[in-house]
Amino acid sequence: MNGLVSLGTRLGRAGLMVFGVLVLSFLLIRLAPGDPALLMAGEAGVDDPVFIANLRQQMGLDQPLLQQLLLYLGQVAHLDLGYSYRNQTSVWSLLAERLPATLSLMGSAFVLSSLLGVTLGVIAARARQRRHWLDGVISQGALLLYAVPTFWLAMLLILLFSVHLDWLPAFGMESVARDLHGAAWLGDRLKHLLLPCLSLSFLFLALYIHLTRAATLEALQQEYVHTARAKGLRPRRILFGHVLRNALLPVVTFAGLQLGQLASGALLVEVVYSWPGIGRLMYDALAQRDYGVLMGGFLLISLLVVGFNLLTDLLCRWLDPRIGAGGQGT
Amino acid sequence: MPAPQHPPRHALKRLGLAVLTCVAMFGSTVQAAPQDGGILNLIAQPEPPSLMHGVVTHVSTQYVSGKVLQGLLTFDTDLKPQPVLAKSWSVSPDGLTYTFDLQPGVTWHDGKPFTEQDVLFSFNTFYPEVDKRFGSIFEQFVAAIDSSKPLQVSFHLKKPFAPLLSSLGSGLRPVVPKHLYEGSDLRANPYNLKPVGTGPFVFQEWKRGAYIKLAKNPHYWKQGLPHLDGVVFHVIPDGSSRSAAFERNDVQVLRAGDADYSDLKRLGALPDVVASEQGYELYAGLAFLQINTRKPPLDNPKVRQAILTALNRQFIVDNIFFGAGRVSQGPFVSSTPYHDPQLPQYAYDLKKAKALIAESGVDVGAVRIRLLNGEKGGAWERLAEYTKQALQPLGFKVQVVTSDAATWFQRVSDWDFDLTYNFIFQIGDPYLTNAYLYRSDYILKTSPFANVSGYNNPEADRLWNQVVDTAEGPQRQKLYSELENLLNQDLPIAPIFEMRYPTLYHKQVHNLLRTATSLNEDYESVYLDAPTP
Amino acid sequence: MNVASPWRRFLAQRSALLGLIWLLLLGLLALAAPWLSQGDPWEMAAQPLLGPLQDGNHWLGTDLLGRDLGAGLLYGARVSLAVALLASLATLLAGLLIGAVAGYFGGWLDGLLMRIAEFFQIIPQLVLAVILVAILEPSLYSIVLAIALVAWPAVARLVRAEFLSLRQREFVQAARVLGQSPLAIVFRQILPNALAPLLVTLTFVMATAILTEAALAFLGLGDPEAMSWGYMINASRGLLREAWWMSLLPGLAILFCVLAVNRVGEGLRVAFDAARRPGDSL
Repeated sequence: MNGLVSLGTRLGRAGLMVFGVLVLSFLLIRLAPGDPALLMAGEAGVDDPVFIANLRQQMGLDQPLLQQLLLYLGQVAHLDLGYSYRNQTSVWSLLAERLPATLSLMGSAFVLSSLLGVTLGVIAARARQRRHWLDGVISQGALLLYAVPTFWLAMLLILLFSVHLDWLPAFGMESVARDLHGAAWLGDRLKHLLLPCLSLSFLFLALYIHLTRAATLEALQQEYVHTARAKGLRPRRILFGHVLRNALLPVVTFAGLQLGQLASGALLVEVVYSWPGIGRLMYDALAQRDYGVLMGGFLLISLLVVGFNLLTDLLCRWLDPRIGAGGQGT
Repeated sequence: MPAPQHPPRHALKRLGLAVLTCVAMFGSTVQAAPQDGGILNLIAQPEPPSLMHGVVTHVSTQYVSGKVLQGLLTFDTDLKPQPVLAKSWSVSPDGLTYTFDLQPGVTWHDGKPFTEQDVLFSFNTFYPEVDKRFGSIFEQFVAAIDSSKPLQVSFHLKKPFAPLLSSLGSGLRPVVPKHLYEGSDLRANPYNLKPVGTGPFVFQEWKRGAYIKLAKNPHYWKQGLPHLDGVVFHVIPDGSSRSAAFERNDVQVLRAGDADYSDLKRLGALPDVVASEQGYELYAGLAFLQINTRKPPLDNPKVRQAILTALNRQFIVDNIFFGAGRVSQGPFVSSTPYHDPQLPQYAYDLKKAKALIAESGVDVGAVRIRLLNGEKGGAWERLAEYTKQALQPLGFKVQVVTSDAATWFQRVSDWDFDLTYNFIFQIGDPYLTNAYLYRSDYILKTSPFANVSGYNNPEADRLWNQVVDTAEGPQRQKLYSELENLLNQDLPIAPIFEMRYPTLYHKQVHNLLRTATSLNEDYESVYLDAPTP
Repeated sequence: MNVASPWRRFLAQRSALLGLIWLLLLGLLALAAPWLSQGDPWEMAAQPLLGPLQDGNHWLGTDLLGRDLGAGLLYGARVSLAVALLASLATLLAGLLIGAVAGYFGGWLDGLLMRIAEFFQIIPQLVLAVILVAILEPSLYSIVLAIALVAWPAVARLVRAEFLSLRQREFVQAARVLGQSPLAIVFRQILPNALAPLLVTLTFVMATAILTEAALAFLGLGDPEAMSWGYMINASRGLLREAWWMSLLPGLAILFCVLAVNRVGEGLRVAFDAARRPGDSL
C-alpha cells in the first residue's frame, strides 16, 4: 500500500516535470530571435509580405504568446503534437520516423558503456586492493577517455576506420542503394552503428568505470565484508553476492540521471556521422525555428528520461530493500 | 576502377570542340556505348524543405526535383536554348509571339498524358500565384498565354521581352501537372513532398535526415533512357564527413559548397576524380558586401569606396575560397550581357583607402560597426574575420557578430546590421535580379534579397525604369553602362567576387556536366562505367 | 581532524600534482600570452599555411589566413581557462544561493527549487546550451551562462544536503537562535564543511565547461571574437588531411587541459575522502 502511494507520488512528480519542461522550453524557444515564416518564405524564394503574413497567421504566430502556449498545452493534452509547416507533416510522424535511430544509438551506447564500465570498474577496484598495476591503467585510461572532445574523436575515427583502413562506412545508418535482407541486412546495420556507438560511449564508459571503481572500493570497506571474510566466504562470493549489489546502487542512480547527457552527446555524434536521430532533428528544427518539432523533441526526451528514472528507481529498490516503502531515496 | 574510355568533356571544350556538346544533347550515342544500370549517389546539402522546385527555389530542392519534373527548355553551356518538353519553338518577326510545340507521347508518372493544358495551367495560374516577382514581370510583359491546337502553346507579349526564354529555361520553372494541382492550396499540396513529373526518374522514398531515393522511370518518353537504375541523395550534415564519403566513393559527386573550400584542391587531385567548373553557365553568382547606408559613417560614399579599396579581394579568392571565384569587376557580373568593361576598378590599395577616409573627413572609429555573419559555412566565417582585420588600419572598429541562419535572415530583413556578406545568382539581364538590390521601391523588410542597404537614388531609379522600356541594342547598353557606373560610384553594395562552382566527380560518372544548369538537370543520359551494385 | 593533512595527501599523489602543475603552467602561459606571442592572434602576420618549423618567427606555423598558430594556442588557453573559471564561479554562486535558500527555508520552496534542479538535470544540456546561445548571440558570456545554467543543480544539491544534515545536528537551529543570518551560516558552517565535495564538483564543472565551449565552437556557435581551441579546430577542419597539426594541436590542448583538471579533481576527492576516513587505505 505504502509502495503504491509512493509510486503514485513519483508518477505525479514525473508528470509535473514533463509539464515544466514543456512550459520552460516553449518560453525559451520563443525568446530566440528569428521568424519561422520569414525563413520559410526565404527558403521558398518568396518575399511577398502578404504571403509571409498569411503564413504567420496559419502558424498562429500572430496571437499573444500566452494564448499560443495555452493552445499548445491543450493540443498536447489531446496527444496532438501539432503540425510542422516547414516539413509539411505532423510533428509526431517526424519524431516517430527518427525515434528508432536515436534509440538504437543511445541504447547501444548505454549498454556498451554501462556493461563494460561496470566490469572494468570492478576489475580496477580489485586490482587496487591487490596493488596491481592494472588499476592505474584502467583509471588513468578512464580519465583520458573523459577528456577527449567527442566531436574531435568522431572526426579522427572516421578518418582512421573509414577513409584510411576502409573497414567501416562513414555516414548514415544503412547502405541505402543496396537491397539487403536477413543476416546481411543486420550486418550492414551493425557496421554502420559501430563507430557512432563507440564515439558516444567513450565519455560514459569513463564515467561508469570511475563510479563503479569508487563504489566497489567503498563497499569493500564495509563491515559486512569483513564479517563475511571472517566467516570464511570465498572472495568471489563476497564480491558478487554483497559488494557488487551495493556498489551498483550509485551506478544505477547515475544511469538514470545521465540520460539527458547521453542525448546531448548523441547530438554531436549524429551530426558527424549523419545519423538521422532526434538530436539532429531538434538541431535542424532550431535552425529553422520549427517550434513544434523542437518542443516535440523536448517532450519526447523528457518522457524518456523521466520514464527511465522511474525504472532505475524501481531497480534501486530491488537492489537495496532498505530504500523501500517509507524512504524518499533522493 | 577502370580507366576512362574517353577524355572528359571539359577537355574537349577547352580544345574548342564545344559543338560536340550540342550534338551529345540528344543522341547519347555519340560516345562509346553508355552502360545501363547502377545507382548514382549524390548529396543533398542542406536537406531540402520540399521536393517541388516550382514551389520552393531552394538549391537542394532544384537538385533533387530536377530529375523528376522537367521544364519546356534548357540552355547548353554556350547559353543556346535547347528543347526539353518543348520540341521546338518559333518567334514571330515582331518578337511579340512565341509559339512552342510540345513533345508528343509524354505521360506523367501517374500515367496521365502530358498536354498543352498543363503548360497553360503552369504559366497562367501556378507561377503567378506562387512567385509574385515572376507574376509582376509577366503582368508587365505578357498579354496572354493560349493554345490554338493540341500540343501547342503561344505566349503573346505586350512588348518585346528578351529574357522570356531564359526565364522559362532557368531550371526554376518546371511544367506542373494540372490534374494534381488545380484548385488546391499550391504551397500545401501533398505532391510537393512526393513529386509527380515527366522526368526520367520517379520519386520513390524520402527518409528525412537520411536520404531521398529516386527510381528509373520505365515509361520515360525517350526510348532507351535513362541509363541509371536510380539516384540516391544522401543527407550528410557535416562538411568533413561529406569529403570522407566522396573520397570513399560512397557518393560520386560533390557540388560546389558540399566540401569545405579548403579541401577542394586535395579532393580534386585524387586519382579517378575530375574537377570541373563547367555546367553552371546560367548561374552567375556574385558575392558582395551589403552596406547599411542609413548608418553613419557608412552613409558616406567615400567611406564605402574606402572599404572596398582596403579589401584585398585577390587574397579572399585565393586564401579563403581557394580559387572558387574571380575578383568581381563591378555591380554586374562580368560574363553577363550589359556589364561595362570600361568600368573603373577598385584595386587593393591601403594608402588610397586611407586617403579616401581622410577626404571624407569622417571619424570612422567613432562608432562600432557590426559585421553580421550568417551561418553559411567556414569560408564565410573566415571572410568576416578577414574583413575585420583588413578594416582595422583604416580606423574602423569592427565587431563580428555571428548568428544562425534564422537570426541572420531576420536581422538582415529588418535592416538590423551594418555590414553583411551575401550573394545572388544573376540570371542574364541585371533587371531580373540585381535590380531588387538597388531599386528604391524594393526598400522592404521582407527578405535579405531586397534593397536592405536602403539605397535611394532617384537617378538610378530613373535609369532602371528607362532600361526596361528600351529594346535590346546599343541604346540599352548605353543606359546600363550609365547605371553600372553610378552604382559603382555610390557603392551601397560592394561587389567582392564572382563565384565559380567547381564540381568534383569520380571518373566513372559520364555526361554529368552537359548544360548551363548541369547538376540540376534530369540526368537522362548520365551513366556509370562501373555501376555500383 | 588535522586541517593540513588533506592538502598534504593531495600533493602526495603524483598524477594530481602533475595536473596541478600543468594547469598552473597553462595559467601562466595564458596570462603571459601578449608577451610571448607577437601581438594579436587574429593578425594576419605571415604567409598563410606555413608548416611547423618553416619560419623562425612562427615556429608552429600559420593557418589559412596567415595567423600565427602558436599565438592562437596561447590565447586559446586564455579563453578556455577563462570560460572554465567564469563558468565554475557562476555555477558556485547560483548553486550556493539556491541550495542555501532551499536548505534554510525548506518546505514548499525547497520542493519547488529541487524540482527545478531536476528539470535542468534531465533536459539535454547541449541542446539547451545551443538554444541559449542562439537567443543571446554567441559570446563568451552567453556560453558561460549556458554552462552555468545546466551545472548549478549539482552544487545546489550539495549545499542543500549539507544544510539538511546541519539542521539535523541542530547547528542551524542554534545559529538561528543566536541570531546568525543565513549568509553567515553559509559562510561559517556550510562552506567549510562542504568544501571538499564542492571543490570536486567544481573541477567537474570546469572540465565540462571546456568541453562544452569546444562543442559549441564546433557547431559554429563560439564567440566570433575569441580565439579558442574549439574555434581553431573548427576553422581548420577542412584541412585535417593536409595540415593535420592545425586541428590536432588544439585538440590535444583541450585533451590535456581537461585531463589535468580531472586529475586535480580526482586527487582532491581521494585526499578528502581519506581525511574523512583515516583508516581508509585509499
